Amino acid sequence: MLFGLIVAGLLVGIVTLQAFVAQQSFRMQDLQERTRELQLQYGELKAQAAALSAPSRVAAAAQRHGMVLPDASQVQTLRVPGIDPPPGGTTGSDAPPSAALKPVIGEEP
Amino acid sequence: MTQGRHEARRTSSPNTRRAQHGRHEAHGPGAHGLHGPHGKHAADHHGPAHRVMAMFVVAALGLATILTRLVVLQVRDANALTSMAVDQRVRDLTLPAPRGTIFDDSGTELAMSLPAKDVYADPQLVRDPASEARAIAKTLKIKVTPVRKLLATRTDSQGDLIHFVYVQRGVALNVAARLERASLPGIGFTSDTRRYYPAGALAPQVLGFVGVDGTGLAGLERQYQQLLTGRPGHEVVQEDPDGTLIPQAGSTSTPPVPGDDLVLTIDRDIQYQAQQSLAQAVRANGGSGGSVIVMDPHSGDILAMATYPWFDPNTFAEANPNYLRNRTVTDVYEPGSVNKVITVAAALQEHSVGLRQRFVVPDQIRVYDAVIHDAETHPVQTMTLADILAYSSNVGAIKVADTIGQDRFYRYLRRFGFGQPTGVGFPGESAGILPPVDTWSGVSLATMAFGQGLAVTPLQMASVYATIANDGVWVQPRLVRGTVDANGKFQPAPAPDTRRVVSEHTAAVVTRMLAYAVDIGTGVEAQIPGFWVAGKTGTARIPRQNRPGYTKKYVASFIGFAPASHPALVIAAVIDDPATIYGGVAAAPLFKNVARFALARLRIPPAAKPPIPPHAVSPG
Repeated sequence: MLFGLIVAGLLVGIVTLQAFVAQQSFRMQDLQERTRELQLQYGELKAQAAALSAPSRVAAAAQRHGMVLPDASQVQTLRVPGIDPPPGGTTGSDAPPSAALKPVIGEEP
Repeated sequence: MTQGRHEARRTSSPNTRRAQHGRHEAHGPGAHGLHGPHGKHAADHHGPAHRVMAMFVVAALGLATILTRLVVLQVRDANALTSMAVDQRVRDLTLPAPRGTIFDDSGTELAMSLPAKDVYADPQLVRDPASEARAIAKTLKIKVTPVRKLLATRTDSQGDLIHFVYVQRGVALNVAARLERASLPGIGFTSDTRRYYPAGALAPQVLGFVGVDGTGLAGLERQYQQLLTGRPGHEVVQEDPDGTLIPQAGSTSTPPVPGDDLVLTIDRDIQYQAQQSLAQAVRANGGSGGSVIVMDPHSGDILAMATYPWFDPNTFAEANPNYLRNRTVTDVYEPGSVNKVITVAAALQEHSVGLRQRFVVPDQIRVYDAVIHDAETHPVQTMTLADILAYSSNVGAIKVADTIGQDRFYRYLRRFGFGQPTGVGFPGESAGILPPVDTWSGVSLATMAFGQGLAVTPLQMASVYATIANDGVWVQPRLVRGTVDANGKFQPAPAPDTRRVVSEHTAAVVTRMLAYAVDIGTGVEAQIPGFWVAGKTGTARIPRQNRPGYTKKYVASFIGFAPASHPALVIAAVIDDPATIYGGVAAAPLFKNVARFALARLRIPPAAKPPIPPHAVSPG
């Protein structure tokens, strides 16, 4: 009797476990699909952001608003040690800001 | 016979069956099989043995058949069947490695890979090629005729049926989705990626482009193909017929290794402005093209590199092939008077000419069988080195070169980087043309003194001025600042090669002379309010193709740096075949436009005016 109960209990347990594993598997599939969709969305948004900030677009928008480029002599730069970037500012060795995201989000299409 | 026996037994009376039953009971159960029915009829007596035998034979045959089939399945066909089962259930998916992104100096994407779809067709399944082609062409914005031809061609040249043909590769997902909704018979889609250049025609010749198979075909895309490509991954999963993963079936996965990112030295704002100014200058001067380089003389970083006309790398296949080359690196030209800076620097470095030494300079001079003129007629003048540079006298430069001698002059040309690639890291970089000194003719030294008879790339020439701006040290120019690996770790590019060409003192003196040339000489159009500029004009004739002599066309150029006494930027401006041939007229304003934007963009403050060098000609 006891043996029968134990066997029955085990059977129920195994079946329940199997069902749970199957359920998690389907959930995992859903999440993977969702991840893929978000990665696609991320890539598209990144591309959109890059295109929207392209100099040609910004320049055209500025011109529409009547803006013109100043002469170099009209630009005055105030320097505060420790706050302003160094003159030129183009030869630093920092990675681009998006580099930190790469291992997390990747460039996955 | 068996049927007859059954019928015979069915005709026996119930009484007989009861009697037989009674006999069974009388003899006991143990005797039933031996003496029951067998004792009454001969046929009944031998029947069971036959039946047992028959059953045995049938069973044996059945077992043998099963066994044979088992052997066939488990031994002979085992591998094939296993393979078939695996094929039905197991999916080996290739996980594409994303191609690395190319960033500008500030970390903005200049080239990136996006998911896309390839559109293909099975012509055997296409019902109406004409109408489907129209629908496809309209959605994909391509020409109808080639698509119709693809859909209507059902056999290849050998008569075999065509079941697969690409209609268009690398289609944007939203566009592909529109086409998918149309559910055109025979049209299918596969996943792919496409290379996207979000800023369009920004530095296209520098970036290059990528073919439909993901291979870099030109520019940095080609130069760094291996680094950008990455390594595809694999995933093995088990699926049911509906494509649903089988739980607990297990899967193995090797993730793809994304390509490294490339961080350039290009500043996209300066690049854009350089391109706009270049296009405007070429059009204003009726030129056929031109180029601009903006460079940091201390690090060798190239902040802008423009060639006009250009193209949009997103649609490179439609571009004029002549526009695809990065001519600042791949094409050479005779530099003309901008080369006089080497003549003057070499003379100063070798002390063959004193700073206050005066030359008697007519407007023409005979050198062996050639008569060489200054650009304009003038009376015989007394000139110092500074005057010769400021007023760009060819005759004066020849006299200075004579004091150096051809062997030493050749060495300086080499040390300034002529006749060898700069090593900037770009495919197809030209070494320029510098004939070995032992092949020089009697006039070679004279013509090279003012920049004819040799050929350089605009980048080589910009590097010469960067050397002067960098206190006499040549720095290898570079386009790539570093790479970012799959873990996001930035790896700086190796430090550029450097070599001292002239002393710091010589560089400083030459800088004063170049500033003087812009202040009162041929380069006045390059002046920028609030800044002191050092630079030199160049007006060089274009040689004939494949035969000696020159055409009537010119290359106008201006190369200089600012601020003169504290150089932060070197800018080379070159215009091909302008209607206004002089570098001081055609190219100097281009230099000015680019420089004033770049100075403001990089927040470079003005610097003090350099001292005026000794001169003999009164300005004005």
